[in-house]
Amino acid sequence: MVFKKRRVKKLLDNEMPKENSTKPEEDPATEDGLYSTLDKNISRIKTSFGDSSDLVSAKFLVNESLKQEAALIYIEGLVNKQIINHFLENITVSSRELKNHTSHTLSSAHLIEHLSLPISHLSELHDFTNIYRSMLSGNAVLLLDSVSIGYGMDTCGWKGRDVSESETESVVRGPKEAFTESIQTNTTLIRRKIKDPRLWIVTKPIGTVTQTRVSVVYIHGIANEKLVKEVHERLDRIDIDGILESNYIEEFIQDETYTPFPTVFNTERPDVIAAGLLEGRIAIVIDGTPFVLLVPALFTHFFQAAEDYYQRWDISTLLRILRVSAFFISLLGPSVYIAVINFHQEMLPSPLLVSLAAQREGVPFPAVIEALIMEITLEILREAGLRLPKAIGQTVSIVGALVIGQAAVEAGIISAAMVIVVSITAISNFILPAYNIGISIRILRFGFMILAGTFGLYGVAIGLFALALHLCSLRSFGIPYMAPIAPYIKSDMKDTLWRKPRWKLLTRPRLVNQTNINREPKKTSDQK
Amino acid sequence: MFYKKLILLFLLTLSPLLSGCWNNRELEELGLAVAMGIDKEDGKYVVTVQLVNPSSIASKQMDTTRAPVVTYQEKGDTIFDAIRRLTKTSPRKTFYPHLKVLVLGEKIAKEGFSKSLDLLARDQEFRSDFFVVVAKGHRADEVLNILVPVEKIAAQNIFSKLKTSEEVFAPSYALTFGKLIDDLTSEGTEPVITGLKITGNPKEGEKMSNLQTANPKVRLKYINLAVFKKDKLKGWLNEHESKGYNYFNDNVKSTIVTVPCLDKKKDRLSVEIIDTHTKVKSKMENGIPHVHAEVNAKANVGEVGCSINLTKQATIDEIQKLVEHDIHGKITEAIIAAQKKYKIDFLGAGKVIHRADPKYWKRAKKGWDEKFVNIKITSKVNVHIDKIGKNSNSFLNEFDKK
Repeated sequence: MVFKKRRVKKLLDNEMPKENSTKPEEDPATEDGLYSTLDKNISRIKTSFGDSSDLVSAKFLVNESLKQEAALIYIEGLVNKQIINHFLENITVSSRELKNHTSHTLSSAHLIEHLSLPISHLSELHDFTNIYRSMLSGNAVLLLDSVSIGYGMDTCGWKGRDVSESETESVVRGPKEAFTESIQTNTTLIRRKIKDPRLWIVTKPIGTVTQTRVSVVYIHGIANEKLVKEVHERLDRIDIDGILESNYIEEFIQDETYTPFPTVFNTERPDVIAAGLLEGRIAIVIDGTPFVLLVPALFTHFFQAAEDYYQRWDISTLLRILRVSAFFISLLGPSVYIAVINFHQEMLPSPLLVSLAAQREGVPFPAVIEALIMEITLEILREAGLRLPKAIGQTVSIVGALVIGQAAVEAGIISAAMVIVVSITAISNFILPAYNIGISIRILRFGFMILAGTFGLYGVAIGLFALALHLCSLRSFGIPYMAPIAPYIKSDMKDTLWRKPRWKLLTRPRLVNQTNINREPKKTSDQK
Repeated sequence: MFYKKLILLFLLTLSPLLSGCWNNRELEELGLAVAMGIDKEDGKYVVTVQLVNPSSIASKQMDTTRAPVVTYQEKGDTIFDAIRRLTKTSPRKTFYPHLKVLVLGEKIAKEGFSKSLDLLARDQEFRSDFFVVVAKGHRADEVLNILVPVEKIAAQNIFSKLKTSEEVFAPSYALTFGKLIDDLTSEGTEPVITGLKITGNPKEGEKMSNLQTANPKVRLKYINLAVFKKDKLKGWLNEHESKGYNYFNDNVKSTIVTVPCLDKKKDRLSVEIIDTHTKVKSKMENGIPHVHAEVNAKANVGEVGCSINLTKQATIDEIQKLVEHDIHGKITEAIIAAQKKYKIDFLGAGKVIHRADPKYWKRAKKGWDEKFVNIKITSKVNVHIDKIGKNSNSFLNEFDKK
């Protein structure tokens, strides 16, 4: 207990300076505070940025009679030039009006409050750290001479990608839009799906250098408060210079690092995130990537495609079963083939065995080696195809399909049956809706092949036992990974290996959401 | 929790001991044995094994110049000895789980074959689902050396031929090895094995040229059933007796019965039996057992060679009676063959009595063969004709009127 307490204290100590830096107004005496002369401030900003060429500072007189000097500092490219121009036009007009109406006694500090500016959002910045941050997130900073406050103006407007169709998770029926790299667009996309004030978005910067904005999104009252707290705690614990993609966060916050299975779900579809939020799960949106994380992520979630819910339940159920079988084919295809060919020849029907024996005739390698060669070739082709420029892609597919597939068989190095097994394995791998669960199978497949090559089906069985044990030991944000299968939760089985009709999916998953289980509170309260 | 882990650890350490038959064999190193022949010569066993030649069978890499099967033959003091001696001539270790057929030569069948079967029952590589047949008038190797059309593997040919002929014609009996062992060891019954015969000159059948004609000169053909006393061949049943045996033992799945066309004696009509069930029961009558077989058969009219009015129920009834009479006759012939001709209880009447009256059987099982010839065995056949096919009356009715 003592130890625990100490750790908590340490954690708090670490957090203290961070809070200080974000709230400098409590401590104006630090050297981070603004100077009272404009030129000094400008030169300090310029030196801090190393006189970067994209830093623009425009000096002008706000009010000719007051001789009030001002400067607008911003970074070119991050701001919308139209807003800047509009602002500059207006400030002179507005100050001229000011001159006519008010006395000369107006102090510089209050001047800005009396100007009517065409800016939606104006924030006071008291130190350089905040000024830099504001500038870097696309604001223009207005500095006034003899005023030690900077004004950050929302002029943000850089070129980003438009909302486009999802490329990694396409559907036949259902919304086609996908997240973009802009966090604002992304949170808006979620908000547009869930029109409820209870959708809470808490944003914080992570990454000491990149200051990437990370938003925790959840529905208050549906998401489990403990879980929300846990997510925040894990995010706060991240200590890194930069976050460039959601996986940076994923690796920091996942429960178990040494497992091939993903315990954090990611998607680029707003509708999938919205569905997750409604189940009481928590989304983590990261600026700069279209992939949004969803926690907790259970094993069964990786078999659920968005389209399962946009099509009739019967076909969805059929597809679920297909996916689960594909999972096993992909995982065990080559290993079972090796085991049967090498150890359990009596299992096969005689004509098939004769046909396989004929194919194996003249193949110089044992079946395990043969399988490994093919699998590795496949992985190489796959990886090469992924990274290649599109123009060369065709060449690779021709070389891969013709040269390696056909020629290897005709040359008698690889048996045709092995090519079939490896192909069906590879194709089965792609049927899984989540790409990252496919990766875990790819890794495990090799282990199973070696087990099959040394112990036959017995080895495969041992491997499966070990896998089951491992899967049951995993947790995602404290929730058992295999739920609702193990531990078995009958009411949650409705959306796992099969999907029941929509009107039967009345409750939220029990483990993810402990407090607000019913999806339709009115109806169920009537029943009770 | 700790104990659970301990138990788990214990079970895991045990698991490597459970590995069973896990010797790794590459497929191309196996000689797939599909048929085995056992015979006797000069007091030694002669074992013939038919191996598949995969490359000449698999459709893609078809090598038509080579025979689809190869046979290897060795003599030995025991079967196992002979099998291991095979490695002197065979390039690969023979692999037996895919064995389809065991052929017993007529000689060993007459001298008694039981002592040769222990290996097949004991070794883990042999299953018990292959068929057993007796080569009538031939050595076992002669049968296995014949190259056969349609099914490239001779053994597959023998296997499927026996299966289909049992299923749709009925005088043969697909006896599996497991059942044979069962018949040999159980009281009150004797084994019956189907016979296999070569038509034509066996030497010609070994050549590939036998496969290259549309009408091969040498073929394998099933003939009727062989009757055994213990494990010694005693004689052969004719076709009627064989069918009768199968009716009695509920082995008939489907067959054809041809009966005279009612009053027109020289015309025939055939009835297809589609489903039969035989119940054999035994009762004691004045201290003598009475075994009674009741056959219930469903049938369709399959072929009418004369003009009769099938639309009338009376006609159908009459046909039913004729069929019943025919089946009854065959069963009676089989009973006579068992009780009078061979005096061997191959029908398994003793088994039925054993089940029905174990006390009597205890007294009677010694010298059962003498008692068997005196017991009463009867049968009753009920045939029900369901369908008469696409036509009601034959077109012959119109044809005759013309």
